[in-house]
Amino acid sequence: MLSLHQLKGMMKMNRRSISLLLLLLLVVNLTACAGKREMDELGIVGLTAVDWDPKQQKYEIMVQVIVPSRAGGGMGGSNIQLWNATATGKTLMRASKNLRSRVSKKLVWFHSNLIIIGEQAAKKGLKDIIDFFARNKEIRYNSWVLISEYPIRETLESNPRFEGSLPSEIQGLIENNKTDWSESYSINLKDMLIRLADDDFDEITGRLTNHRPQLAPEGTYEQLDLVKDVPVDLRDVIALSGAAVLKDGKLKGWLDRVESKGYLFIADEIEGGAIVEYSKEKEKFSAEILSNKSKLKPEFKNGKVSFKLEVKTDVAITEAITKLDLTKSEDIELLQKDLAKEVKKYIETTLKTAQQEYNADIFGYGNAIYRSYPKKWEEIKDDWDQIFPTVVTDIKVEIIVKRLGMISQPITKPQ
Amino acid sequence: MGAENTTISIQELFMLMFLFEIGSTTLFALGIDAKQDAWLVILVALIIGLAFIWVYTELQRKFPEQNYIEIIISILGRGFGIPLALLYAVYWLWPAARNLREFGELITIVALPEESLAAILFLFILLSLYVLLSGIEVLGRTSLITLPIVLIFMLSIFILIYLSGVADFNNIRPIMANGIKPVLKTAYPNVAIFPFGEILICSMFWCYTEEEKLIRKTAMLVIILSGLLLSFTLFFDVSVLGDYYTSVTRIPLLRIIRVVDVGILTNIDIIGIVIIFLGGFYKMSIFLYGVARVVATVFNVKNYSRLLTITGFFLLWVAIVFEPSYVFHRWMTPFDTNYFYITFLHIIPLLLLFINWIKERINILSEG
Repeated sequence: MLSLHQLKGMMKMNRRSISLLLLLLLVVNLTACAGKREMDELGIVGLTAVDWDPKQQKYEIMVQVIVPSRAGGGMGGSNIQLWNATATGKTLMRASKNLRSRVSKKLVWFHSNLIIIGEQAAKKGLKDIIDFFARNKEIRYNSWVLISEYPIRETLESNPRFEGSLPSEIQGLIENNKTDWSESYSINLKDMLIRLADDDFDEITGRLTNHRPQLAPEGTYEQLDLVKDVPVDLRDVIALSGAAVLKDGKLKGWLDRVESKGYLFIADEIEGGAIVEYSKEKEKFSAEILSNKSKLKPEFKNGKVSFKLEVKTDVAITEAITKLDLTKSEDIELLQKDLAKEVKKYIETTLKTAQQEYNADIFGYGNAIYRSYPKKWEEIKDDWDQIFPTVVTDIKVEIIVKRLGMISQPITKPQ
Repeated sequence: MGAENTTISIQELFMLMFLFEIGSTTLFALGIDAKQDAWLVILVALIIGLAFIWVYTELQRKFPEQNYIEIIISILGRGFGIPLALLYAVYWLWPAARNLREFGELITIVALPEESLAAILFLFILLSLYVLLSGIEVLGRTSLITLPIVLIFMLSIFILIYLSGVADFNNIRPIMANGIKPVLKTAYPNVAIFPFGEILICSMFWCYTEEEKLIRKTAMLVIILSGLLLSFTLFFDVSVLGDYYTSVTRIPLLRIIRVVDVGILTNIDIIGIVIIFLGGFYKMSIFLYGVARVVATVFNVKNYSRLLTITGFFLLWVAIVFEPSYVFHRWMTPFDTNYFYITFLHIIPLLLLFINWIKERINILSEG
């Protein structure tokens, strides 16, 4: 420790330099509040959408902006002001600068966690678009990247139903998909970047569609009143359904909901909520997945690569219109076999679509070979596009019925 | 503030060296040339680093009361020693200026994009001078507070990333896909020198500690712990970003922090900035201290405070003027690691030890 005496000595020695330093500190004041951003000057971007206009050969960029100063005019903050702004340009940066020329607020991207790419832009290629986003320091790496089936203009005109804004509505859909129904698969910007950079992995992400309610307008009573004045074509609601398949960053096509489910089984991404259903003659079953574990392994036999997929799934029976006695173990075994067959069918459909129709390695087969057999991958990687469609996958599905629901025997017999 | 009454406890020495080693490593993906084996590269380089720690501390043990420059002069004599010492001053000024510049750039990129670089660097130097003018032991004592902060933040980042479920440990496989050669190639000289070799500058103040016998043990412990931490960082960088994106992204640590999403814990960039800033501050300050100490030793300067202040501002000037852009900076990196650093950090200390050994032999022979 310093003694008081030493301290005094130090002070004396350095009095001059200290006062000089203090004087120099005044410089700090001269910069004032450089770089300050006031809340009411900001336009907080909630989502960013990009599309490509083939006629004009221009990118179209669209943002949905939340304006804080208007948001929550009272204590509750119920009516958040949201608006869409669009601009076009030959490059994305041009478009985003053009966008700024139409916005009086300073746009900030810190809270944007959705990047929506229109079908046309996705067909043209994602690599250019993603490069722009990856370079930008405000864009969060955990933003979801989704592909919109319709032009983004139409998609973003949908009304949020349950949430205050469209971004949080879409976010809710993604979260729900993970835990409740598992029939779509979305990846974030970071994973998209990794997959775009790797040759051994093709891209897949969620498909955003507009969906027009078939029944009377959905919504709360309050909204029903509002809807009366809205033209019918604006009553669209947004939905997440299936997935988009890309190869080398270019959109190849879509996976429907069952195929997406098959994909989730292969990629071991099922967290719960997905169902298996089938009907045999007059019997009908459905089961909800409680937990799932899939293992994908490459194997080399006579120089040819093949894959082994092992799926182990625990389910709970949710519907059973059957003659089977579900308290008997041999009947349960029969049921388990049938369910497994059904799951196998999902997986086979997905594999067929990805291999034959799109030739897109969305499962990361190439990646799996590289991870386990790096030397062999070096040999075959140049011909991978020809090899991939011919790769045989040996699928083994094991299903265990864990629960029967609140009743153990069917109430009605099949009719 | 003469050197005579300066003492540093062994704990302070440990913490100072640890912070020095963390330094600016957080800014880069070290050893990423070996792709997903980067973490392995660090471990290999760590062992090489330990070997050189033995060399540095062996020199120190032969001349316990002297700093590195005094040791050079004792071994080579004034005729050869002083020019070499001055070369060391010039050489050490270079990483100091680069460090300063790097952190100025970092602040510009992540926090104050509209601020002028010169103003940021100026404040940085001012803060550093403020601490150093009170002596290296004060810097040592501040590290007692800051090192735990840095370590806690680092560990919490790893934990949060793990909890976010964004780390895919498959990205680490396959281990050594192309054999051990790329790993060794990247480990030496690149990683073995930066950051492990750079610790040589700490031998400018090793002589101030009273527990000389513990210097070697402490330095080795620092190398091992910081190496493990660094290896861990690279492990997480690659498992989150994949090897390709780890190699192209500007500041991998900040990138992996950006994907943290645990409940309300998102956008915690500030934790990363604190780590990077503190590491950079200590590294730059130690370099600055070292350079001034070299000059003071060579010219026997009495007024050390003034010398330090002048050196500080000279450093500021070098940092601003000598590097036109970040692109130049990246272009320069392999060049100076391969030629300058290796000479000053590995070849010269080894030669010194060898010459000293010969001199001892001759003495023994002539006495015998």
